[in-house]
Amino acid sequence: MHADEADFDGPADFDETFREHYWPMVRSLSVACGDREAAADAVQDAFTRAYARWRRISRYEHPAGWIRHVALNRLRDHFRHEARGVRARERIAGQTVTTVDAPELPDDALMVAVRSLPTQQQIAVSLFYVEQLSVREIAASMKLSEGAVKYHLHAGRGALRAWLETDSETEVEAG
Amino acid sequence: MSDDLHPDALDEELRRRFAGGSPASSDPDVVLDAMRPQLARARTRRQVSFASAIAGVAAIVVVLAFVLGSGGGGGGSVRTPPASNGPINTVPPVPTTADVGGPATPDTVAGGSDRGGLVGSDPAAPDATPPTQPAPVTTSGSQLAPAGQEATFSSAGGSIVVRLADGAASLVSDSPAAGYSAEVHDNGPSRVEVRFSNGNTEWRIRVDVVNGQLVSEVTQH
Repeated sequence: MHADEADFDGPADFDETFREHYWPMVRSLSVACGDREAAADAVQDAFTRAYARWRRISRYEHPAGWIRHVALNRLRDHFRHEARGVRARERIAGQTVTTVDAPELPDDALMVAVRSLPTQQQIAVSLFYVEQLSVREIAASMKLSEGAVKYHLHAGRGALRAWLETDSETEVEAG
Repeated sequence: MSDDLHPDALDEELRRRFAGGSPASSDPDVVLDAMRPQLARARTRRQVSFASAIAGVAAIVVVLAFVLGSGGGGGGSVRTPPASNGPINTVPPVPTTADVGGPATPDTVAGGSDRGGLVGSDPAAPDATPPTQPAPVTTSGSQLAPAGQEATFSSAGGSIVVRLADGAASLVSDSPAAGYSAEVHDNGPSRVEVRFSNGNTEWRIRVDVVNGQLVSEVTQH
């Protein structure tokens, strides 16, 4: 009844989906937002929501895409609240478990370069380079058209490549 | 866009740099196990909100049934809304495509469903008397659908559309009632069965292919 539902291989298993996608998702969102704990909270919250609705979500073609989209929204809310001086994490502290061990972020120089990009580009390049998703999967997760994702990827990738070239030149000169 | 995003050496370098701080891939099961109570709570909360939504819908249905019922005969429809508590039988599912004649009178429709003992031939007062049959499992009769077409079958938990083509039945769509979720138990070719559940009550619509025609059975569990 939903166009995006498909029962090709039968419904997905929640635990399997979690094992496969949890860490990659936390990692890519960590890079996208620069805050490992916020990313882990958002991803856990998204998985929790998916669990409550799993009978429906499991029949989606890309359950992980739905979860990633919810996590991205959650993250956006988090930073919106934080920008207002409200610690969103405090509000949901009772619901989230302590982050066991969030992944390390890439080196600081790269993180600074990512930070300099517009938000949509940060997310697109993180999903592309860290989680190594396809344009189609990124589009599903960001609820954007594939054309828009390509645009953001193109711009973000161009900026990062330019940065990489100057960065390695600097290293050579320094060395 | 000229750039088709094919990775090159710089992309590989970026990918490597992005992966630079990767953790020693800790066990996701540790996180998952820590989250179990949180997951269980979330599911319970959702079920509770479903239950209250169902109660609200049931109340509305009862009021509507009363209003419609007191408004005089409603034409050929004998579909009885569910009571707020206790099972009530549904009409045998009527394939939408099978209704080729003119508007059926209540008598003719009711006469064809003598199996549904609770389906009143008097649609004016569907809820005036509580069901006399307290058994939790109720069964509706069978209906035939013309070959090569789609037919709709309904229960209080939702409805399904089944297609019959070349002697094989397949599910076209399922539409759970408010608060219900659908589980496709069988999807052809000889049987289509969908179970609608709201956590407490489960309605099953089973459609079999018998002699090249669709025969349905609706049960409540």
